[in-house]
Amino acid sequence: MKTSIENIAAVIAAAIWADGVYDPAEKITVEEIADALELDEKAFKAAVDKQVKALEKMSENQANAALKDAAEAVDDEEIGIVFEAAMQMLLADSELSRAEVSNLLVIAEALGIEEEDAILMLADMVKTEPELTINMED
Amino acid sequence: MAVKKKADGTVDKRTKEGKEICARMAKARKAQNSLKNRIKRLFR
Repeated sequence: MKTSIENIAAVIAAAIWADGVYDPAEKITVEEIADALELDEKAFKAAVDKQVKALEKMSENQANAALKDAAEAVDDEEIGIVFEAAMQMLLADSELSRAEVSNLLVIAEALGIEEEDAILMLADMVKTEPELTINMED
Repeated sequence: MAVKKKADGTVDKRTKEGKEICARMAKARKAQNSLKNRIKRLFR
């Protein structure tokens, strides 16, 4: 990956922090992302931990600004890959909710991905993950 | 002990048992290279 581990970790941390907890399934998914993106697992886990801890202390505006800065630093050729990784993180609880879709669209916008493309990638992911449940509640 | 379920019959993911189920499913996705295969198919 041309994009730095720190910037990828910041985008992934934003996806983790969407529900305010960093649970065991998300930690396993961090390992999966490191493997899929061919990142050093130990360094990536440490970077994600650091970003999650930083997010705990931020206001919503500060968190959005941090996401925007990290997303803008993602290499143009890798925005789709980083978005797929963020989607995998939101899939960690095997459920897709309105709030998660909303968060995904915020991440897509920060990465410069058009909404239509983000929805197509989400549809592709849903198609390939039969265990995923859809929660239409707020 | 039975896994706590929500009113709609789905597992309550906020409970310890629910989190364990999610972790097992995440491990299964990792073992199946779920993300790696999508990236390979779409971007590489």
